[in-house]
Amino acid sequence: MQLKQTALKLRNAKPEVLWGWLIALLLMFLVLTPVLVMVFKSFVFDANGPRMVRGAEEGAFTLFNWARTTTGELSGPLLYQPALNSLAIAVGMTAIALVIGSLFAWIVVRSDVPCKSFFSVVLIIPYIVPSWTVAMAWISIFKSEQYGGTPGFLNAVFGINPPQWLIFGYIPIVISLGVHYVPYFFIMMRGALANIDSRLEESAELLQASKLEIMMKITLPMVLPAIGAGFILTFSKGLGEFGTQAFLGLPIRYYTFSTRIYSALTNQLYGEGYVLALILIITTTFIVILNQMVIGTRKRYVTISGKGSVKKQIELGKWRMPMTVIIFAFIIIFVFGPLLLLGIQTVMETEGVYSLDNFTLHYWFGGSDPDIAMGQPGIFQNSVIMDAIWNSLRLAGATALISGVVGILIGYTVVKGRKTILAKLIENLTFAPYLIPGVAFGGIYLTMFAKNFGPIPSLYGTFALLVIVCIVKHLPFSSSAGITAMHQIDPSLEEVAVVHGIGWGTRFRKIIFPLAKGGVLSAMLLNFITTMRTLDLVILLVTPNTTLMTSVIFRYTQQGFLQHSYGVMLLIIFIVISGHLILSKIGGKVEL
Amino acid sequence: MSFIRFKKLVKEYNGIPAVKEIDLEIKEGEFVTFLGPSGCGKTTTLRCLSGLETPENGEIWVGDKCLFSKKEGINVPAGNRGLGLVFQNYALWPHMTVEQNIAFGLRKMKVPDNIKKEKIVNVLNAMGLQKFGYRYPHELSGGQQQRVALARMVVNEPGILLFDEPLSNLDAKLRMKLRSELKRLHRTLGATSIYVTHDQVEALALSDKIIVMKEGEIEQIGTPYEVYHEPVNIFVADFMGNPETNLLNGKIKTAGEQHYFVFDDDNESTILLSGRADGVSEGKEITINTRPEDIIINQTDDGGTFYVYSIQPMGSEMLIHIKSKKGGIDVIAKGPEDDYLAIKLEQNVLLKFKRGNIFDRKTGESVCSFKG
Repeated sequence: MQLKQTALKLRNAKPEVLWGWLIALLLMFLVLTPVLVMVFKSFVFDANGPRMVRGAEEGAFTLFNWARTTTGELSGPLLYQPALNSLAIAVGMTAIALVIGSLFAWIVVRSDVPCKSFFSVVLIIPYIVPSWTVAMAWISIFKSEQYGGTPGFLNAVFGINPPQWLIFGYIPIVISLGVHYVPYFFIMMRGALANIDSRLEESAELLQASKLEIMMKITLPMVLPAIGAGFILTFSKGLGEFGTQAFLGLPIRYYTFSTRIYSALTNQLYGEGYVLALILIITTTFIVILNQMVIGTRKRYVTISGKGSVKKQIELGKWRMPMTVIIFAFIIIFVFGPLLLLGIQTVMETEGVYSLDNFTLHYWFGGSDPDIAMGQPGIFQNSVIMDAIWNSLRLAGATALISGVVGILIGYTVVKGRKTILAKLIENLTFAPYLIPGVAFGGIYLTMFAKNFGPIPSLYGTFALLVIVCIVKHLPFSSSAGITAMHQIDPSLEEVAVVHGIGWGTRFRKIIFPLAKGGVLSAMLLNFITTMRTLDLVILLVTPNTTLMTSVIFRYTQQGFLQHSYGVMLLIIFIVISGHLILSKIGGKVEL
Repeated sequence: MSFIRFKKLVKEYNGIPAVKEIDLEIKEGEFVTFLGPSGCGKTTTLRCLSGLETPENGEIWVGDKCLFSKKEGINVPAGNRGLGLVFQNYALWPHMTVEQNIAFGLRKMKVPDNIKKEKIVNVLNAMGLQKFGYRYPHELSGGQQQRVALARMVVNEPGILLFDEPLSNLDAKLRMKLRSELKRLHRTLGATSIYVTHDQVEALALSDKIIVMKEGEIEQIGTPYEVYHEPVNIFVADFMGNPETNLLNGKIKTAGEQHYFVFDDDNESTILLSGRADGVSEGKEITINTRPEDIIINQTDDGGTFYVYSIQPMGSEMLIHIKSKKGGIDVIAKGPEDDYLAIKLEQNVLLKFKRGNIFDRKTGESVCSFKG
């Protein structure tokens, strides 16, 4: 009797609640536990503890890690200097991206410059390619025999020896990252500006306001909330950036938060690494909460887009040509320039010799030659690189596929169960990985899965671990895509099927999935692209069996096989740009 | 004496003409409405006058001042034309309070601050907004927002008031109320007003003069009475219908002193016209326009080729749908409820047209009107 009732209950239970709780439990394990493990580990001695403190025992409770990092003798170089560097980088790059991105957006949306659609497409590229693309090109231009080993472009062609601060450190990092985030502001401001009803500006025009006055008193105040939100989000992303800072900072021991965490964890100084990671997570969380507060309290300006009226373009007059030239210059120097330069480098037998005699396709197709690159065969002959390409594609594919399914399930649960505890729990859990910087996230998974964790076997060194970490880290995006897709499906469409007594499995297959397909597909493709170019998340987790394209670039750069790195880099860029082209074909958008 | 003059005004968007060589004169102090379906060029004409759009050709004059002339290369900036404009969506600046919105127009006026303050207080009082000076637009209802937009326009005392469908975002009740306020406002300010709308009721209620437009051209200029009762062509007759007018194809037959209307599709169904339809040659292919309220229904037991198809009481009046027995002909009649209480469904009826217009079916132009 009782059994019968339970069975009946189960059959009537809403399936989304069932899988909702399953997902919630899984998320708690994959998101919450790592943070707790990290907190715990920060309060015990790591394997190095006994070496550093007399009488210390590995695993014993201690405040040593926190004390050493925050107040100890070494706290300056360990925490404060890197933290300061990170802050300065975040401020600098955000400022650059904000000014350039907003200016370009205004010009493209509101003024009468030519080639608008070309600009709109091309100005997105720096955000699609890995954030450290410009960084790599930068080194190959500015390095010299004095710093960085082989001569760079300037050194080889013009004999210039650029000073060290121009090759490595703050200036190049800020510029490289700034360029990467220009499209972020460009896309965001383009949307904000396009949403402003031009009648708001026309009303002012009728009241004798000059163009400058309209800009300062009407347009700017209305896009200010968007600028503020963009600033805070970019700033918090900048704090956790890894690749650029590793390429342009590590060679001169210029450390930031993320590179400090990286070097602590690779040197197995786990206590120290986790303290730093926790401080970074707390900082990022604080900034994101601040952002929520600012956006939450701010009046959102509802602007109705102009009905039937053609949006008027502002005539730039004598500024038209200079502005066009500036945008073209930016595109040539920072978008096509780096790609072209990386390409040229891969066909130069000896680095830094810019002549036709030096042309070779060895780095692409050549076999092993002991005279070139210590016998490293060319990319397509190189089993390490070919494995890495296969692994990267496999990883990105698996991540995209699983994320898409998980996203749609989460979306269904959250939208159907609006305002229930389960929905809120899942929403918060899926957002949490956003707050944890990639290096730290990889670091925790490294510790958690290095040995058996409860019933789960050691996953370190397996492909599965990479898939899990990528899925979880990208959850904030996958689930919000799923939620959006679900919101767009009118509940009555499914309710009709419920009334007809159609079971949830059929409903899901025949109604929900076909309707949500478009949104989920573009989310999958974006996940694919993001996974292809991820470095910080996986750098601590890859092993010789699971090398990825990004980790190959990182290792080869450190070992001086630059042509190979540049070649693989170009392959990644080729893949992500193709992915993006397909994405725009199916109507998706770049994720901000 | 005309005040505003458009001479051969042309405006194109990407080579597609929106306004085609319009010539128009408007008298000082008049309330004029541009009426027409969407895409007829009414808003574009208004925006050309305001200076927000630059025409491709033609001239615009206000009084003895030329605002725009392609030939002379004159184009006075929008801000210097001395006119005010209210948009359909009000276009209130969301980041400014009601007071700041209104004060923006006064910032260039060279008068002491306390006088500006006084002007703002006065206009707020006049619009019944005294309590809302420190509110932001999104904290106001649609009707209140509309009043703020009006206040922002009139505080500068512009010589010409322009309205671009200012009431279409409001619900029916509020629209009625604001309509009477607008009329009152025009009366007190005495400023020449140009009003753009696609709602013929609004146009009839507000205007001294209605300009009916279609596809960038003016179809008819006239008083509300003229446009409603003496439409110059089928388009105007059709557009002015409310809820709908009866446009029927047929011929006119004369029997003694009486004129009859005979349907093309059904020459047994004839309808008596009260009044004379002189000037129509017998057998000419015409379209007749009779409004539902101008149809007289007589019940009959025998004969009669029409019957009552449906009856819709609407409170103050009744809508009666009549069909021909043979099929193919539909006529809508409307009248005070009390007059039609006796009418039953399916009953045979005889029809009489009290008033209407006759159009040449080929050209669509008016031939004559009749009225009993």
